Amino acid sequence: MTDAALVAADPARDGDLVSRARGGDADAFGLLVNARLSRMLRLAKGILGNADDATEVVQETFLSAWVHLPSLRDHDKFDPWLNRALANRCRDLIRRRNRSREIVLDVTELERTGPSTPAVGYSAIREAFGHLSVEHRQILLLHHVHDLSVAEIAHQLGIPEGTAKSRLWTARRALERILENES
Amino acid sequence: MNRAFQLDDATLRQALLRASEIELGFEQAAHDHVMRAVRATPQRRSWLSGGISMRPRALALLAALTVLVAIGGALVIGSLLRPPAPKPLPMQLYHHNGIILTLNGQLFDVTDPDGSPRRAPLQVPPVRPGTPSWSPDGNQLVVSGVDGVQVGEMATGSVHTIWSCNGSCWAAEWAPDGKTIAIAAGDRVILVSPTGILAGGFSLPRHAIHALSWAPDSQRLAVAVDWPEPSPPSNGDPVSHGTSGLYLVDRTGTVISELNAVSGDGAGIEDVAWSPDGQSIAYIAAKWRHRCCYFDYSLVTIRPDGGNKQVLAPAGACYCMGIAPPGVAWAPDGTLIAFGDAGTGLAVIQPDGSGRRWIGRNYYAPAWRPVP
Repeated sequence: MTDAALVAADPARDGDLVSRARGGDADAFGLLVNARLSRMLRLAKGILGNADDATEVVQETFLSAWVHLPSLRDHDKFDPWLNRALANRCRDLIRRRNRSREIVLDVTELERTGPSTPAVGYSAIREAFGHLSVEHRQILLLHHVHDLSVAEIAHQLGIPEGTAKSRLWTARRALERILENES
Repeated sequence: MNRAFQLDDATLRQALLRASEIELGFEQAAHDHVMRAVRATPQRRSWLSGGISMRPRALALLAALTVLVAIGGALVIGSLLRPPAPKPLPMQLYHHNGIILTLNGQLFDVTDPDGSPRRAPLQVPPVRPGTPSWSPDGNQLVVSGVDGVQVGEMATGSVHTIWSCNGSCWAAEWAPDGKTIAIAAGDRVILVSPTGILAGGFSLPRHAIHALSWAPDSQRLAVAVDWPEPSPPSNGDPVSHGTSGLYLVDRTGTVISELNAVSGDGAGIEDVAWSPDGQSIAYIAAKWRHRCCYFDYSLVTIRPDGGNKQVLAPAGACYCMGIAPPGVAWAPDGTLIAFGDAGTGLAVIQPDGSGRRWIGRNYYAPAWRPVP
């Protein structure tokens, strides 16, 4: 099942689950988590470049979503709310990491670069990607990894389609500019 | 516009796919971890529990513009009026105060009040995660959570459940005399002995009690309450507006005074802590910056008679949906207050508002351990 299919899955059922979870039904919340965990983990891993950090951030995001779910009235805003919380936590972690000058290397990424990589290497793209803002990383991942259309991205992020289009374009261009400067 | 460098979709997709890969097993482990934490963590029901609606775009733009103007003004004024940076406090002032426990998801974090990066050599008993409070001698820990209230023995690591809750126990506080634990459960405060024998209790009907703190005489309690029932919407905003306040009550629930420290649309009290000398009550106040849901937090102190209310320090601001609210705790000797800053983490500050210092990352539900 693609992520596009996941996000399109029965909004009425999701609304019911959010409503039950708001009332304290942990099983209903578990179903919401189950449908989103893979996407959230891959999104966070893509943004942060590190699986452990991604796991920590996603777990914290879901837990605080559970704690604060009674505050959410609009059931159909659950995904934008969750995505915004994830982006905020990723941003906080990146700030802290920069503050402590910690450098995180993904060993698997280093191992994969080799003779078979294209003219613009994957590692170069990853490095350039790491210079983008969290919002730009998020939208590129949603589009190119999770195969979401502009309309679905707009829904997931709670932004107008026009904003999603321009943000996607700007993110792509920013990435190309960084690669251009580095080459 | 000509683009000098173009990245093809296939290459970008491959690079990002590789960067996003999650190893087998990670997902299931993460799911189990999240659900364990969810089942052990009570939901937060405060004055926002009536729910919120996303605001119209125009309002959001207006709010953003106002925030920008306010920030610009504050920067200009701040550059003119900025006071000199406070001097760091002597190390020994922090160190004799023990350690601070904060809740970090389903784990507890241990922080040295001196801010050193090392972890204090402390083994927390395997209590279910929840809001912690120390016994007066620092040898036991009481933790409230969705499944009930547990007491952990520091020396042996043994844990026993002293009270089962039908629903959530939102807070548990050990009285300074060591004989009573107060449990906040919905609109009720339940008083039990450390072994779980019922010792009294009272209710504040129609109020949601979400934080409490004992006076040093162990006869009075400061309770932070919300009015969960919606009042008529104001300004056309569809959000239900409750208010939040601070009561002083005795052990029978008789209201001694209503400090009414915070009230009005989008205002609330997140946590409360009575000073060891009894002369001051510290709390974390929250206020919508404009409308829902960008919050400004601040650390406030007030005398138990309602006088000398002072905003001691800002405690950060955030679009706080999905973010745990900051908490507050006094050092056992009353020389410092630990409080959460939604922007930077846990900080300590002197009761006169000086000497603010960042000491750690997690700021939810701090509990300062007395030196045994």
